[in-house]
Amino acid sequence: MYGEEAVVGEVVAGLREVFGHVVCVDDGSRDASAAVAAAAGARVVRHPVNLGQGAALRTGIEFALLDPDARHLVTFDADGQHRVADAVRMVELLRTGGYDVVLGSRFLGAAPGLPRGRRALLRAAAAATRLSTGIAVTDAHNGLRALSRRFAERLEITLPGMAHASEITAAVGRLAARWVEVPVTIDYTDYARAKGQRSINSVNIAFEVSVHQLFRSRR
Amino acid sequence: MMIKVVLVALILVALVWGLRHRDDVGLRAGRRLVTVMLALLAVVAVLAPDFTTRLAHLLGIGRGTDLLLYGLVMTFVFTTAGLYFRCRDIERRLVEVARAVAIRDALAAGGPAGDAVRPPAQRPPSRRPPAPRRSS
Repeated sequence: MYGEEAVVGEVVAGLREVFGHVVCVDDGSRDASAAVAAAAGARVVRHPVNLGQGAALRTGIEFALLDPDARHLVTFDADGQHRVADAVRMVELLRTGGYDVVLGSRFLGAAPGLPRGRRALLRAAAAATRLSTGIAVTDAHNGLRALSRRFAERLEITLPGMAHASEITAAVGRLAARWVEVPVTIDYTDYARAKGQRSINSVNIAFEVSVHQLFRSRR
Repeated sequence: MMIKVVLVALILVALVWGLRHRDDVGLRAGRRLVTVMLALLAVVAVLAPDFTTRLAHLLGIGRGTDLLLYGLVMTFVFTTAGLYFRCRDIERRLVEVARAVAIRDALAAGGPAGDAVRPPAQRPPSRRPPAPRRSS
């Protein structure tokens, strides 16, 4: 999370009603996000400076895996756009379906209030991800995912910014993980819309991903 | 015309190859040498315009200034790309350091995620005592 003091308390409290452990990564917020999340019952890991969403996700996963009893992990955005009931369903599927990865898709589910331009952009992003990874996802940039411990331990996220989403999908292919996509609802509240990334950032994401794939350093 | 196609192709190959092997010390040295040579060539071009023109003709390029321009464009592209990757590598290191610090601090504050289980949220969050803070 980054600067989410207005909503993160509610999000964490909602998760804590069902889930035993909530790890919240504070990505160098200057507001009271960390204190609010901790008060709501999350374990907070604080980045000393803002590093980007990919880095935050990595830190959260790494910290959660330090608990040897953690068997399933859920990634969940702090801005309140996801629904806890969806997360519960996805973990249930991990547990009973023998999957390594359960991905949420707003295009199989619903995204009330999703602007048309953003919809087209997300569709294009999913198509690009399908093309580059061979994994037939319908929604490549959905923050709600359920991961098995096995998969999370092998997942390598190297891009610190927003481009990590395609890395996770690529890892599904690379690790030959058993995966499934399930319908979820994304609530495009005014808050989430105002906080969300701008569409033009997709240019940066596409650039980062292409450069990453083209010019992999030998190191 | 043919020579131009070959030149352009060579430039592109050099670019991709150079960036893939960007950590090579020899290559970095080569890039710097080319930059210095280009600067010297620019001095020569100012003092004796004929020399660069003759050199350009030798390579099948029209004017000496064009030769300089091509060289300039190449070094500019290499330098920009080199800086981009250098920034990215430095950023990657910063991310590693900051993440390590964050996890160490969180562990010091209360062990792994499974430890120190707090009761699920039943009371309003504001009534809850704040999490322990580190003193440093």
